[in-house]
Parts: sequence; structure tokens; C-alpha cells
Amino acid sequence: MDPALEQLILERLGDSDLPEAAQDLVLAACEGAAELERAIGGDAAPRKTDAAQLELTEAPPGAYLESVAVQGFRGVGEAATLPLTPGPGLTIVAGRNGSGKSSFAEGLELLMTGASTRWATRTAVWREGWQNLHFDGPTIVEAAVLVDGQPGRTKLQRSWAHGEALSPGDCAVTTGDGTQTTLDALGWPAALSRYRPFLSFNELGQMFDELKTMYDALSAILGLDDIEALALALRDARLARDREAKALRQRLKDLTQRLAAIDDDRARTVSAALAADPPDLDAVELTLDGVDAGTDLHTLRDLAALRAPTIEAVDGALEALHEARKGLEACAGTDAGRAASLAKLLETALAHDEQHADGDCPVCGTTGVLDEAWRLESARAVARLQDDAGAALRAEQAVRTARRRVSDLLPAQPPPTVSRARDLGLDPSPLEDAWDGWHAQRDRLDDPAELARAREELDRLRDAAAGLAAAATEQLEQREDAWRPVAVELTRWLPEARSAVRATAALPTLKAAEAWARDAAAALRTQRLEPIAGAAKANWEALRQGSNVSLEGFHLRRRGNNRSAEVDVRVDGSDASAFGVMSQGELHALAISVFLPRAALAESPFRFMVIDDPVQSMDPSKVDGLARVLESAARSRQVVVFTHDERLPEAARRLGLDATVLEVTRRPGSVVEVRESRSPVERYLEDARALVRSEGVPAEVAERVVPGFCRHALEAACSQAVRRRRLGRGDAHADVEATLADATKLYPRLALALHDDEQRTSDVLRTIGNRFGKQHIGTVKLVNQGAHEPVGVDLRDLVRDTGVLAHQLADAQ
Amino acid sequence: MTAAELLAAARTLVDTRGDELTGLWPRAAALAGRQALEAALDDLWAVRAPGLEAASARAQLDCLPDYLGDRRLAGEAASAWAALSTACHHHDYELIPTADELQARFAVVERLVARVGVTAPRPSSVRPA
Repeated sequence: MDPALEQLILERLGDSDLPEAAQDLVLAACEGAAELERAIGGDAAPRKTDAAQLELTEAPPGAYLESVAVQGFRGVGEAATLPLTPGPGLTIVAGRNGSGKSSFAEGLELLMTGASTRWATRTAVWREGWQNLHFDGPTIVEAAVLVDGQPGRTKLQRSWAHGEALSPGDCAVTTGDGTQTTLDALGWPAALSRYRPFLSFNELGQMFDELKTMYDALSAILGLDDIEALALALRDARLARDREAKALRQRLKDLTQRLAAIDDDRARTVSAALAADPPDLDAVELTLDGVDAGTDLHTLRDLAALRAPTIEAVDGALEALHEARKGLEACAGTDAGRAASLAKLLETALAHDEQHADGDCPVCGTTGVLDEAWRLESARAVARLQDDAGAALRAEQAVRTARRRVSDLLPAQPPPTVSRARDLGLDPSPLEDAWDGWHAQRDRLDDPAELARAREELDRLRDAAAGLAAAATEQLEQREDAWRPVAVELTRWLPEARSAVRATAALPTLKAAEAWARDAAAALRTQRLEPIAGAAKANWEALRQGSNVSLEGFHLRRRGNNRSAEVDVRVDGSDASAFGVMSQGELHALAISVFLPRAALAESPFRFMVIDDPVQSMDPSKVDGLARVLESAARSRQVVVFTHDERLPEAARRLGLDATVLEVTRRPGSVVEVRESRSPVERYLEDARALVRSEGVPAEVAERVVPGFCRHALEAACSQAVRRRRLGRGDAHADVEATLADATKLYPRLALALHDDEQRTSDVLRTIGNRFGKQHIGTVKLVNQGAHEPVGVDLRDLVRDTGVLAHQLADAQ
Repeated sequence: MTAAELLAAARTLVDTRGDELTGLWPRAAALAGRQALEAALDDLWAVRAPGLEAASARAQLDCLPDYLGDRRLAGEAASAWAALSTACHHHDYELIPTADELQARFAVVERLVARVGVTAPRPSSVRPA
């Protein structure tokens, strides 16, 4: 962005109460759309807080034209140069249509911009004839330019080989010290579009073809392209998010409807998450991942996973019980407790006997019975008794273990899931009944008949469990069938949804930033347009002579892509639209009114402006205004105006404006010549003198043509006198011009100049004799006759006499 | 100078390059060309209608079709004369004629000179210079 403009924006932001987040967006948008996107995504570059960080680029140095030369281009064959005086001043380049003058204007535009507005709209056929037909060398367009602060002249040149198609090519730039550089290095391309120093007749017409054309023309020079672009970038970003938000709302509506039709906890969870503001996409994602599947689904999944003990497990457990019980029977009659106690008693008796060996029984008192035989017998009895007690204990333990194994085949109660099956429309009662049946049976397993019944109960339970699991599985599948497509869709949509949610969240800030930028653009536009509008109004006042349309103001409006320039005018005091009431000539004048101040802006590096044929379709009174307006622009700028007729030079001379007039003529073979032209009287006299002096023109030919030039000088002097007098006293321009156009011959012209009456031709010679001297009667007669046949006088004398008379005539009151 | 010589001089003015004639040659050529045309008319009147050369140019051109025996060429001569005459007077808003314009008019003058040579052959039409 233009640093100066960025500076302005920073200042305005500093004074505004725009929230900081929105300010950040505005600043990011200054850096371009990409940076804006990053900032909206929360990833902004560090903010520039003060102007010191901005690199203010200097305006390119100013430039004046010193000459424009073209060769082999359009109407110009061999090289022709248009010499210009560098510095402020008005130069009028006059030449007939086809004289080659426009080739200079177009050449200069092509040279500096690489394009020509006049060509832009032309057909290919027209463009093919861009090289001169009479010339087979290369086409060269060049200009010498004096650039501020650079010694010597900077030369710009583009060239093309003969027969080459029209293309911009490269512009070679050589500075005064011979350094090669480029237009870009001079900083001109940007300035060229902004302060366009060229105004062609085509542009004059087109400026008002469409309201937006003028808007564009003005907006570009107001230097507001960048801020327009800024506002547009914000608007585009906002629109993109608007679209995203709208799509999100629509999608949410669709999804909610679809989810409502699905009888599934996940659908309900997702629906609830989507209904939140903003939508809780994390919850949606958890549900999709199955982390939060909902109770129903868990229940169904548990039910589907229900498994009764397998036949093998049941058989194994029952068999083990049977075997254990048989082992216990084998120990029958053994009282394990008694055997253990007895063994302990005998052990204790043996221990006592060892300590107190007296042979007497300590229990019954019988003496001498505890002998060695007793001891041996008792020790054997202890070992046997201990064996018996252990086997019985192990058999009992084995039966207990086997019983536990059987009752552990199933818990006492069915899992809680089973009873919840009812909530899902499933019937768990067969399973529950079987469970109850088993529960009743599992403690009665004492004989083979009871074991057989237990097996039957378990078979029943297994069937019931399998039935419930199958029903649950079926329901689960049904639910998956309804859910899966939505789940897939939701999964795919999630990234987009996340972006849309972020977009929606960014909208308020973005809208605030956009509104601010739009207002800032409008305010800056008005502020910048003011001086141009003021100058344009002043120009129009000078140009409008005779027009009943007064210019009230300009407005540039922009609504999105709709751009329009509004020109408020008043016609005889009533408000009107400029485009409805103004004639083509008036519109051209208006276009020039706007162009001049635009091209003369101080920021423009171009100290020159080139206007091609502004006079077309202008009535004579406007030409006076135009000459004045151009001269006033020329006080600070080098103004070069191309014109196809003499009206503008005449007006400039008559009004005493300081203008250089260059005349362009084209000889056969596209040889184009340029010469400076003074007033017509001076020019004719000079031509006559040149012919007399010329060595290339035979005397007999000079004798034939010199009197004609003398007559021209007298006629031109008469015109000058008539115009000064009649316009001076307030006659209408058109009337004066019509009178002069009717009196083209010498005598009526003299009658007009001398008597203010073209009819009084018979009084002319006498009046000339009386007022300017008798000898001038002869001068008049000789120049008039000599235009047709040789008069046999000294041509030098004739030219001298004519000069004296012409100057007196020109001053005639 | 004869009509043919004047015409040749007019053409030379258009074709000759030289800084001293820059910008003035179109007018000079027009003056010479118009005189060539008038000289041709003088030659015609000298044979066919002595005295008519004193009449106004307009009147001479009005009579031309009857004497020349080529109405079409007479018409073209009249418009060539008018065009060249425009360049022989000062007009504030008209710029000098272009080379193409002049050459087109000179072609008419050339045909007129040739036609007069056939219609009114007379040794005296070759005047002393």
C-alpha cells in the first residue's frame, strides 16, 4: 500500500473508536488479502504501531519534455522531431488531420505507457497499419526528458523492427550520464496511471460514456486505489464469510432435520451439540469417535455381547462336582475330626511318656502298661490317624471347590443391562426366568438327577441369552444403518464446519473493519477530490462561456462494485444531471476541466501534460475559454496541445496568451515537418520573404506565388482587426466567425476591417489611400492581381510594403 | 510561364525538400497550381472565345463545359479551382492543404491542360516567358 495512504489510515485508526481486533484486520488488509486471511485466522503479523516503521517512498522526480521524435510510426516516415521547450508554458501543435501530428502524441503515450488509448478500442486491421507505409526501416519512438535533479537529458526509447507486430516492447531509458535504467526505476509506471498526463480525444469522449469510467479516472488520480482495494479486500473477506456462515446455517438446519428422524442417542447428542451457539463441534466429534456413544447404545452393545456359559464349561463343572463327590464317598466312615484328635492325643501321650517314663498310664492309672511295645504301636497309630484325617479333609475341600465352580458358572443375578432391555423394547423375561430357574437349582446338585436338571436349566438360559443378544444385535444394526450415513457425512463436514464456525465468529469484527474502511475511503475521497473539484469548477466557469449549465460539484460514490461519478449541475438555476443536459462539446469541456487539475497535482512527477485535439466539437466561444484555461494550467505545467485546426492558435494569439505554436505539415512519402508559427500575418510575410530569398525556387515561380502570400498577410491582418473590434464590443463569437467566413476575398475583408461593413468594397482603396498613404493603393492592387498573374515588380519591395500596410491594417480601429 | 510549366513548378514545390520551404510549400504550390489552371483557361479562350479571359473566374468556369467539350472534366476543374482558391486566401480556421489534396487537384489541372491542348491547339498558346 502507498505508505502515505497507510500513514493516513494509521492516523484515522488512532482517532477512531474501532475495537482493537477490527483495527488489526484493517492493518492486515493494508498488507494485502493474504495477510488479512492470516489475521482473521488469528495469525497476524506484529502490528505496526507508528509511522516511524513505515518507509515513506519519495515521489519520483519531476520531468519536462524536451523533444519527441518518431520514425516509421503511423503517419510519420523518416524520423521527425517535435521540439518542445522544457518548462512551464503552452505549446500548441497545429496540423491538418493526416499531417502526422497525432503520431507524436500517440508515440509519446506508447513510449511512456507501452499502450495507446486510441488503439485499445481499434480492430486488429487498424493495429496492423501501425508502422508507416512509406518507410521500411525500424520504427523508433523516443523522447528527451529533463528530470529534476539529474544533469543532462534522460532519453526514453522504444523500437521495433520493420514488419513487427505491435507490442509494447521494452522502454530503454538512458540518463544524462549515460546510465541505463528503466521506467520502473524512475518510479513512473505507477504515477502514469495515477496522474495520467495524456488526454486523447477518445478519452475525452469516453470519460463520460459511463459513469464508472469517470469514477475510475478520478479515483485513480485521487490516489485512492489502495484504500479502495483495502475496503474491497475487507468486503471480499466478509462476503466469503457471509457465504460460509449462510451455508453453515443451512447445513445445520438440514442436519438437524435428518438427525431428528434417527432414533439414536448419538443423533440426539449431536443434535443438541449442533443446536448450541456456536455449535459444539468437539462434542460432535467425540460422539462420532464413539467415545460418547450414549446409554442405549452401551446397553445394546452389552446385550449383544451377552454370553451364557458354554456347554463345555457347564459339562466340565458338573463332571468335576460328580468326581469330587465320588472321592468324598470313598472316605466315608472315616471321621476325619476324630482321627485328628486321637492322633494329637497319642502324640501328647508319647511326649509325656518320654519325659516321665514310669510305665504308668497317666489317664487310667494302670501301671506298667506304657512299655516299649506301646510306644511303637502308638507311634504307628499317630501316623495312620494323621493320613486318614488329611484324605477326608481333601475330599471335602474338593467337593466345595467343585460346587463353587458350578455356582460360579453364572452370577446370582443377571447383569443390570438385562433388565434395561425392556426400555429398548426387548423382552428379557425368558432369560430372567431361566436365571431364576438356574438360581433355584444350583444349590441342589446332590444327586445325578439334580445335576441333569441343572444342565437343562443352563441350556434354557443359554438359549434365552442368545435370543436376547440376537434381538439386541438386530436393533443395533438397525440403528447403525440409520446412523452411519449421517455419521459419515458429519465426519466429512466437520473441517468445513469448523472453518465456518470460525468464519461466523469473525464476522462482527470483519463487518466493523469493513464499515470503517468504507467510511474512511469515502471521507478520504471527498477530502482528496476537493482541490480537484474546486479547480474543475473554476475551469468550467472559464470554459462554459455561453453555456447555461453551471457546475455545482463532483461526488464519487462506491457501493461494492458499483462505482459512479456524479456531477451536479444547474441549468438556468435548476438542478439537473450533467449527463442528461450537456452537449457533447460541453461534456468534452467538462472532461478537460477535470483532467487539467488532475494532471497538475503537485504529487505528479509529470510536469507536462499532452492533450490531443480538445477543440473538436467545441463551439468558437468555448475555444476562447479553452485557450485561457490551458494558458492558466501552463503557468505551472508544460502543456502541449495538439489541434487539427487554427481556432486554438488564433484564440491564443488574439487573446494575447503566451503560447508557442508549432505547425506540422506532411510531405509526400510521410515526410513530416515541424516549424514554429507566429501570428498568421508574420508567418505569411516570413514565407513571402523566404520564397524571395530561396535559391531552390526559380525567380519566375517566386514571381507567381509571392504576391499570393502578400495577399494572405493583408487578409489575415484584416481578420485580426475585425475580431478584435467585434468581439471587443461584445458581438457573439459565432456571428463574428460567420461574417468572416462569408468575406474570404481581399476586398470584402478590407471593407470589414476598414468600414466594419463587407459591402463597402468600393470605398476600400480610397480609405487606404487616406489613412495609410497613396502608395498602399498600389500595394493592394498588386497583391490581388499578382495572385493570378505576374505583375512585374520587385518582389522585395512588394513584401516590404505589404508588411507595413498589414501592420497598420491589423491595428485599424 | 505556360500552364504546363506552372503546373510542373507547383508539383516541384510539393516534392522538393528543403528547410527554407518548410511549412510554406503547400500554399505556394496551391498558388502556382491555381495559376496553371487559369493559364489553361486563358489558352482556351484565346482560341475559342477571345475576351472571355477578362470575365470573373466564376463566369469562366460556368462557360467551361460548353467550350471544353468534356462536361465531367469541366466540373472537376471547377471544384479544383475552388479548392485551390481556398488555399489562396487566408482562412482563420483552416490549415494549409495536405500534399495528397494538392496532388489530387494537380492531376485534374494536368488533364485540363492536355484537353485544352487538343481542343484549342495554337502556337501562340506558348507564350514567351
